[in-house]
Amino acid sequence: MDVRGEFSSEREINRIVDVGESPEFIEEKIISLAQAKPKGISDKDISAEIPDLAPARKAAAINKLLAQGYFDLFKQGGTLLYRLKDPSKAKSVKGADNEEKVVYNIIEEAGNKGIWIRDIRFKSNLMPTQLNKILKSLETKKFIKAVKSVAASKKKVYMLYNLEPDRSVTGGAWYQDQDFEAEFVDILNQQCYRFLEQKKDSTKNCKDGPIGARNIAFASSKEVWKFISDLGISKVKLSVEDLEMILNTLIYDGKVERTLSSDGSNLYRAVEPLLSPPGLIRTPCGVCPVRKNCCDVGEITPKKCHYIKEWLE
Amino acid sequence: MSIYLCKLCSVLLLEHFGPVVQTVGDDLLKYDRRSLRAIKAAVNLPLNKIKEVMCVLIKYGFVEHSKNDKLNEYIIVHERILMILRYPRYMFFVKSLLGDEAEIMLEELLRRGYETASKIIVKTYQRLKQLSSDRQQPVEILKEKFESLVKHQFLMRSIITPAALEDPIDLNVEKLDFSFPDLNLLALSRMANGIAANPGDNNIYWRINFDRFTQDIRDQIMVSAITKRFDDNAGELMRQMLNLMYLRTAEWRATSNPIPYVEIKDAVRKLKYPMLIQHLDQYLCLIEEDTCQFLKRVGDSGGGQFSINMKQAFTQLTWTTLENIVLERFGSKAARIFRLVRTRKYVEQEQIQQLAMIPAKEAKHLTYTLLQENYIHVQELKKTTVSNAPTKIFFLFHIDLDQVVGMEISHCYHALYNTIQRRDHENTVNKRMIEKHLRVQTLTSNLKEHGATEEQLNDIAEMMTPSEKLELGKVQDIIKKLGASELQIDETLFLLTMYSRYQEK
Amino acid sequence: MANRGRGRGKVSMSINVEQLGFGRGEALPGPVLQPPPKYPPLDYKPTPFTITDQDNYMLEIKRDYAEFLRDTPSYVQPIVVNKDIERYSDWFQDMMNDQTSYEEQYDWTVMPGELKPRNSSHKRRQDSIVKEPAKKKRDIDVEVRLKELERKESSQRSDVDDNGKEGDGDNEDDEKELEERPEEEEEELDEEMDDGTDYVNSYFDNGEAFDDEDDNLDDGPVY
Repeated sequence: MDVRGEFSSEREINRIVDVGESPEFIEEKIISLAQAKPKGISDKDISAEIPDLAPARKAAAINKLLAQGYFDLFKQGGTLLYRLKDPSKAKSVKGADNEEKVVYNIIEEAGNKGIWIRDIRFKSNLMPTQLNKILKSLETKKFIKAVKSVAASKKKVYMLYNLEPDRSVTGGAWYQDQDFEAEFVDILNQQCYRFLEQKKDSTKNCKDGPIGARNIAFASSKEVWKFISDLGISKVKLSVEDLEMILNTLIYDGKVERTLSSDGSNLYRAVEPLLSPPGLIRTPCGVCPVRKNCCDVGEITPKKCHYIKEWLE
Repeated sequence: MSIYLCKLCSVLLLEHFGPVVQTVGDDLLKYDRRSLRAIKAAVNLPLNKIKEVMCVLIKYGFVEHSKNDKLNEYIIVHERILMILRYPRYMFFVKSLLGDEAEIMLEELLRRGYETASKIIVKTYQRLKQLSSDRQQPVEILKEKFESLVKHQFLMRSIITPAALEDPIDLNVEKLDFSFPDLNLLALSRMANGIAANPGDNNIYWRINFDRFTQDIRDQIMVSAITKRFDDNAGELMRQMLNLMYLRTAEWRATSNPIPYVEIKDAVRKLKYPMLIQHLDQYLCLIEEDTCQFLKRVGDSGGGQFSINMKQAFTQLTWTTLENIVLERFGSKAARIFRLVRTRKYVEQEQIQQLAMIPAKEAKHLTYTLLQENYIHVQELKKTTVSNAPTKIFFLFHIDLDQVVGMEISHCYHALYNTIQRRDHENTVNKRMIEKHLRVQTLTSNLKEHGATEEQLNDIAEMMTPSEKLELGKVQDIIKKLGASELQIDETLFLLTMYSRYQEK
Repeated sequence: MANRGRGRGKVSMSINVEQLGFGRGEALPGPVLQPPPKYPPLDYKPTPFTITDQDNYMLEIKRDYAEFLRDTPSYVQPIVVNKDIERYSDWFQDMMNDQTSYEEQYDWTVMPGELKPRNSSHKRRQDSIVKEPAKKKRDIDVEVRLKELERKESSQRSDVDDNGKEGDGDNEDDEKELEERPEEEEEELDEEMDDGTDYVNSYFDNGEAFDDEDDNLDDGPVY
């Protein structure tokens, strides 16, 4: 188990303590503990983790888990150890039939990107009602979990229970729950531009000629990242890649250009547009939403036009 | 052809040449080429009137005459009528390049369609004399001014010659003639003082070489774009490069022939741009490496060879124009999507919202708005992923630039037509007041000439009530604003037309 | 639409709605009960409009140019038939616009000959462009105008707005003119023009209302 796993199980534990100690949560806690210690946990370990757990409840929980095939029981140096079974083996032991196995495999294949119920159905050829039952059963056994995907709101994807969902599912730093934080993105967009613009303005007195000035105006994504981090406007920790996503929106805004530096990192620079806004859109006819209806007769004509009238006043 | 192009041409004819010319013009605009007989059959005007109108249209170059199988045909040239919109720009251009006298000469020629050099010179002499005595110039100087207009190829010998009339094939072959005839200076100055004389250039008519102006305005756009992007030094370098282009490249080529570094350096040395001289290499490199791609390094011999990519330049300028239009019509997020589709060439809806970092629903809304307004286009791609799954259809968004440009060109025609209509409307509605103002003005200047007293003048000025004066001021502002927007819309139209022109080649 | 679609199966339904930009289960917009406004409020106003000094100057040129042309013969005047009121501007127009003598404004060595006006053979041949004294020009005007007035005394309309009966009359005159033309041209030994005009006539013979006359005239140039 990697560091990230440990981190997540710790978080889980905290949550349980907050909520209270229902049997499910005790079981979950024991599983988490076992996940953290792949070599196995002893009775002592459990008591240390949940000191105020009554022995009877502890025994009930462990028995239930053993019965469901979560744990292997073995002896090591006179101590009884519970070790978490590999889940893929676990499901084949008890409470899982062939269909569940098929569905489980399909979900496992999908990895941490998850898979839509519709795709599972196509791949498994199961009836919707049957599939729903299987998914529910796998979910209660905590083999799999349903995660809301940001790509299509209201759509759930399924993945193995112990997986951390991919960024494409959670949306990474840009999502709070399932909502895209447009304002946050806009602010970062503005701040990144401000930084690059200031950098460009600082080249005005550059004595090294235009190329020298241009090169000073370039900033690497890391520099921009540092600037944004120092600003402290983000409550979540952003990566350099996150910032590059923001910088790309500035490129699409036509305000920034990107170049590759000799060491392969991305360099960004604020640029001036080639033209001022064209004359056409400085006039009402240029931005007219009803131009298609505008002709010489009827209610929408240049003579009766409200937009022109307003513009002329 | 856009119906608004015809409508625009029609109102331009009306404004400058009156309803009778417009009536005949409309018929020609409808059919492009017509014989006199056919016009007579369609237009309810006496034949003499039609002929008179045809003379006017030919005189100003709006109609060309050709003999097809011995049948006289008249062909209307839409672009030439649109040029009327640009006359002020051309005059301003000549004024800043060659001075006021040259501007007056150009104006006289624009007023007359075609004319002999001597008549233009004499008229200019008289106009200057009328303006003020200290602007008076002897005819010798004016003749030189005229010659410099010819030297810059702003003027050319009229291609309609007696020979061309007889053998119209000559008309198709555009042989531009810039040879200046010998003028009798003595006769010129006699004519200038109202004495009949023979200056020696009867029947040698000059016309305006509009193509020359088109190229100059085109170059101006490129220079100011480079200036805006970089600085004045870079802009000046671009101007010099364009001058060097003319020495070695046929007109309207997509790219210039290679310009050697040495020549660029020589040209720049003659200027008063110390920073440019000092950093010439850097400036060349700067423009060449920029995404606007106006310049291209095409060789390394002799310090480098550079080529101007005219076609590419106007493609870039056109993109920028369209991006600006989308920005101002649909907002910055829509412009982001438009640029994104441009950059990615073919892109799916999902990628759009991810890359543009716009909430899914808003991104979809904007994408569909752009699609509906024809700024972006969609292509379906059918693909079967799994054998038993239904066919999956991908919708790929892309931009057909030619189509968008075509749409915006006709948008410009429409906007110009509307603006002129509205201006005409304002003039008509306020006709009484404008005419009254005109009468008061004429009366005042007449009385002034006859030495009227201050009191008398005041009385006349009071013929307009204060509220009338206020109202008049408003109307004048309105008419001015509409007129100015015609000039500005035409700028956009011109740029887009340049793109189309380079695409045709 | 949404309700109808549901019957045909959930799968196709979800595709449709989502392609329209609605998520599953999201409320669809209510029915449209009134027509959209003719001039909906603008989401984006035109960018600020400024008139530069250069614009101001160009505007002046633009206005001057149009105003100048308005007072020249190039601003072709309709034939105003009935002059019930004498106007100051009439006098001005008479001076500036000589409708029938446009022939004098052009150098016919460089203009298509078929565009020469009729009824004015006595003052044709203006190859050299020596200006005629203005006074003489005006005399002719008055003469021509009087003739015209006489001819169309009863009519109260200008020719531009004209239609129907009078137009036909004109047509007849004009047809005749097109027919007579060759003879006149011959008189003047302007053979080059002759061919052109002649051809125009015969080419358009068929389908015209004046077949008989045209036939006669086709023979015309022969004798």
